[in-house]
Amino acid sequence: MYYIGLDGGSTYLKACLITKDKVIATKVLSSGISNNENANQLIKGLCHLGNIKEEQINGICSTGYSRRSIDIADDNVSEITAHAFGIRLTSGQDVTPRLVIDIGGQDMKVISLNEKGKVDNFIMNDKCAAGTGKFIEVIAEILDTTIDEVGSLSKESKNPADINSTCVVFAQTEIISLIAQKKDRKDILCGLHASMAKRIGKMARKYIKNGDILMTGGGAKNVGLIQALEDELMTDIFVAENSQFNGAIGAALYGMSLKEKE
Amino acid sequence: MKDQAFLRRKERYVRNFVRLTNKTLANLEEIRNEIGGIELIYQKLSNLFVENKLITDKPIIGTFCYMIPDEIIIAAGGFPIKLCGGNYIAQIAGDEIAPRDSCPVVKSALGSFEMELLSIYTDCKLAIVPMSCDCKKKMAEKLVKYTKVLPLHIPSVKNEQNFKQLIPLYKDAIKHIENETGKKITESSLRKAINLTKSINREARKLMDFKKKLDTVITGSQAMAIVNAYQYIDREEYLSILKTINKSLKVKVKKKETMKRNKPRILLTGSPIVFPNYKLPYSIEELGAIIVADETCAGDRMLNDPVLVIDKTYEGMVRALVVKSILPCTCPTFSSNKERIYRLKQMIKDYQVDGILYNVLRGCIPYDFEQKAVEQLSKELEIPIISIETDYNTEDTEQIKIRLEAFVEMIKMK
Repeated sequence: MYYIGLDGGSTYLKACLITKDKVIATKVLSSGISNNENANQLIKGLCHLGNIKEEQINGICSTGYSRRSIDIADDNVSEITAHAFGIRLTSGQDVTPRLVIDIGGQDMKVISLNEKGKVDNFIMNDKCAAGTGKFIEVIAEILDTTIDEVGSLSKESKNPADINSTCVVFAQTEIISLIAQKKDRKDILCGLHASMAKRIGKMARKYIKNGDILMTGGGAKNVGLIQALEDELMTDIFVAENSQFNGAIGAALYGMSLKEKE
Repeated sequence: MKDQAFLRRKERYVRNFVRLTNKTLANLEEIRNEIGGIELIYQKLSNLFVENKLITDKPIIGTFCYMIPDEIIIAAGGFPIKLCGGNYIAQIAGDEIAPRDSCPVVKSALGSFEMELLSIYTDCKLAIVPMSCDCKKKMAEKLVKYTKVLPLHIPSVKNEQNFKQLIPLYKDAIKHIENETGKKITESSLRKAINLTKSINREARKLMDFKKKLDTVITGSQAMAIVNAYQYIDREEYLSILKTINKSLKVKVKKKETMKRNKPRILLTGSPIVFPNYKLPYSIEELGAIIVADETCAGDRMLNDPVLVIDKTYEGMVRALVVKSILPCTCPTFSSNKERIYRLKQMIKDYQVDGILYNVLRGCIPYDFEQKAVEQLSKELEIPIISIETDYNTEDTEQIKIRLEAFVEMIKMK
């Protein structure tokens, strides 16, 4: 039994192929302007990777901002539910997450789970995109690096810079003046992650309880941010396997649960 | 004489004001749940908010909030109307008068006066403004430019001593009303007015009872429009429309024309929701939930509590009206407002609520403050809560829907 999950986010369209207890393949494309074309291309690619025929797919389920515009999907589900489902395959064996922090391209979510792993509360950033992937992307560009490298660079910092603004535009101004003061970019990045962690921590602290904290989404690939968040909350933060695909994996699992009910 | 530039501006505001109203009306009419008589409510709302028709030939006495009893205005031959605004276009007009962080209810009321958007504002003879929250207090000051204003002191603490001071203040308000209508309130006219609103209360409670049933026959948006419209319709006429609606709901129950049972049942509370700002109720119902209980002040709270007259003299009736206007009021502008939590607790039980939707209008500090207490209640009763902070703009609708949808799914999967 094969299932496909599609997660149409603000920046990337993520796709995965799973069976009941395993992620077989994942694939990602920039969101671009044609979700349907991208989705078809991703599904073909996944089938190729998984070495299966398209007819063998039992169900396709979508999530994310553009979930309703993906015509090939049989069902769709909201991001919050998808992430709660996804961690069943991504959280790793020794981790029992009761709190999921998802850092996406343009939003961040904090999802609180009950002991059965079901959502019992959640918050999303509602005012702006500060503290999300887009924020790091903009800053990485100014600092002449890429989003994949900011994490390891920031870990090397010995003396983090102070960054006070949480707004992308104001932080940009602040960072330009830090560059003018000849601050090391490692220190700037480390300060930046600390300021993001402060913001995320404010949202997360409300729901911290017994159990582990799991990071998902593209942001979980950023080791600098994880470290900053651990320092902010003074606790372990676990990173989901296939973190960027957690939403897609969750959608696939949700699709599977619907089919099983039928 | 207003100058040409003003008239051109006004034309633009009116055009967009009407468009926005039409959108809400269309949304309401599209709800696939026919109720006999509800079209009369939509017609009345359209008469006022779209066609801007004269809705009465009686002198219009405007009020705000919950604390001014309609009965004293009706008994004096006036037409009581709540002037709290709910239109985003009027809010934009009000942005120029009120500071950025004041609430949209006040902004849109001020904007409606400034831009002369509706007959109820241009023809308003007297505006009685209870000194409830800070925004209302400062608004009263600004309203002087457009109409006669009577600020009415409301104590922040409900106790015997404060209550005694209130009676003369309400009597003074009655004098002001009588001056405008040119008619004295008599014992018999007051009794008649009280009986009329009591009948309306009774019918409104019947409407609420329909919402308590697990087999629902009315959506929250429809019920909200019906209750909201109370303010803008002649009370005798409203009573007869309400009776028609209740009859038709009764038939629906009998014929078992009910909605799907598995819809999460939502309690709506928080800042006021005034027509046509039905963004929250409409969105959450579109996403598969149903609003069964409504604790907001332009909604069911307005018609929930009937006046209880024991002493049937004029004095006694005025006293009873003041009691009704203050004691059961669960507005968070009262300090130590435990009544609200009790009421919510009771409502959660009575209406068999699965989730709470807490509306905070941007700038509405009192409701924002009490959010914590309601969250605490939600934890105690293990009923999930979602808080949405927004104003009348429609730009954030999609972001709000993402959260509302996840909330609805969360309840369904519980």
